[in-house]
Amino acid sequence: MATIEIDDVRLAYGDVTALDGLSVTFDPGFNVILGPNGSGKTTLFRVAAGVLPPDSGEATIDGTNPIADPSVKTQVGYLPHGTPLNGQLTVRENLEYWGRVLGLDAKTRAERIEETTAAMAVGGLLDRAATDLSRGQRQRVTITRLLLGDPGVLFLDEPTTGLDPSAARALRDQLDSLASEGRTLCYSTHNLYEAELLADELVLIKAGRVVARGRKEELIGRLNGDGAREVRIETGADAEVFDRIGVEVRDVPDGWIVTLPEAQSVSDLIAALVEHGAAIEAVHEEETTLEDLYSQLTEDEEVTG
Amino acid sequence: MSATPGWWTLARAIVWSELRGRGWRLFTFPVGAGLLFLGLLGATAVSPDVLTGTTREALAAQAGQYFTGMDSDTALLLAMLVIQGPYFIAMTGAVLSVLVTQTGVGQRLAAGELELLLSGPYREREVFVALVAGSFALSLLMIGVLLAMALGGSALILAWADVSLTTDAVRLLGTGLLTPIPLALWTTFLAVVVYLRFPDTPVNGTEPGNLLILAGILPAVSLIVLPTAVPSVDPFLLSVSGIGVSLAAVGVGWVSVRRWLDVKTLL
Repeated sequence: MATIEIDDVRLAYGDVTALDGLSVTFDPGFNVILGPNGSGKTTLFRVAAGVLPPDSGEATIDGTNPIADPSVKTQVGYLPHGTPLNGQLTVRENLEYWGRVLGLDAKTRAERIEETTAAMAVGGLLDRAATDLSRGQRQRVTITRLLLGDPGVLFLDEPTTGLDPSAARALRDQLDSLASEGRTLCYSTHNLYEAELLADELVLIKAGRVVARGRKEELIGRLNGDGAREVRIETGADAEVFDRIGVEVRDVPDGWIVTLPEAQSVSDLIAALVEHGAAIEAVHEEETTLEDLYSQLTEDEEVTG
Repeated sequence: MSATPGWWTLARAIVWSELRGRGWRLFTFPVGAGLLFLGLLGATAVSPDVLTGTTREALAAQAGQYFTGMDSDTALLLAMLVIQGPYFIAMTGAVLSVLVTQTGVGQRLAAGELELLLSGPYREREVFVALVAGSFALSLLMIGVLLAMALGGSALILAWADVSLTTDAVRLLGTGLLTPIPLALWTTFLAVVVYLRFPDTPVNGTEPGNLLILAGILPAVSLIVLPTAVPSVDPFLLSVSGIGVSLAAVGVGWVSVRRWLDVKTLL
């Protein structure tokens, strides 16, 4: 429905660079943004949603700069970290207020409140005071509020932080269905399980730059580079044996992790170890996980852009 | 989407939610201040001796200057209503504007609503104007309640004391009653700026925000102090000066805000 393009955006808070020439495109679907604290995720969302003008570069929503033409922001729903609902109002009044902020007329407001509360399963909460809601309910209401203007893009900054597992799962399911309707969801999280579960596209950010972007499988493939994979060998053999065979290893409890070139099979490795007199207790092929990818990309130099 | 200016749409939404959320509680302070004013006026009518010596002397001087040809008690009552009254309302209105802004816009900003509003279809300047306009509208509503109480009650007290207003008194009263409006605009403007810059400023305390607000209320306080300290001061001139200073302060403030309003420093 809508595409967000961030082109060579730089932004600094005083001496601290938050975005350092960041470029990325968010297409319809579930875009999950990962990165350590202070990597620039929140600032990226602020710039992309037209909340904050960049120092240089440009962010556009379907080709329109939201700072130059704020009317395009009707296509955007932005959920900052935290859930500011007016505690003096009921859920219905909070939604009514936001409908007024968006400039919706009374008839449209009423229709949209009915539709969105049904979609987010918060219809039963409409007459409750906002202060009486659980954290999960509050988060669902704030997302309902975002949907009042029927935006094509949603920026959600760590929406499941602080939710219990069942509330987080319910929220993820609802967001997943919003993405499947063709919306562009940009979702930041520190939860790698969530990222793996939801992401159509993963974007890893470090120090205000995109260090990797793509589908999980693609990124892991690129991380492994030449098709090498890891095998864990439980053996009493020392590093010298692996040196003689000509493979790279690293020490782990009860054995070694061997990085096996694409051309060499596990059975070749076992045969070579046996030939060098090593006793093998067990062999496990290691799967590269999102956590490995995250650790490597956020700790090491840039791998891909 | 409506075709009205963005700040107007946003200001209306803010006013709606404040009225909806706080309802009658919004009006407790102006009603209380109105009763206080009526109490003072009633006390002047019944027993002028309850006033402090300085106030009584100032009122007597003003009564002698503007309300000649009538008995001294009536002149004192008129001086209290026509000369001191509008300034009491102006000062109370300035305090009301700060309170309304603190408990409304201030709390919204402290809760992080600025970021949310900026994600709406508005420019940052429109959001700022809407915050000021919304809060100012609420302040005017409070001042309206205060005025209705003060003037309505005064009319009753004057009728009871069998006193009618002279043309000169009406002119002074009319000009005086305009003063609270620009003063409220100035204090609202200042309070919004303070709560944007220092969102956690409490109602009481000696934080920079409080000190700024205190300095902003000084023109309103001086309107009360000056006629008492210098009874010969021309009330008409004082009112016009109060209006001029307030509007000039808003003008200077607006130019400054246009220079420093930077969302980066506010989020």
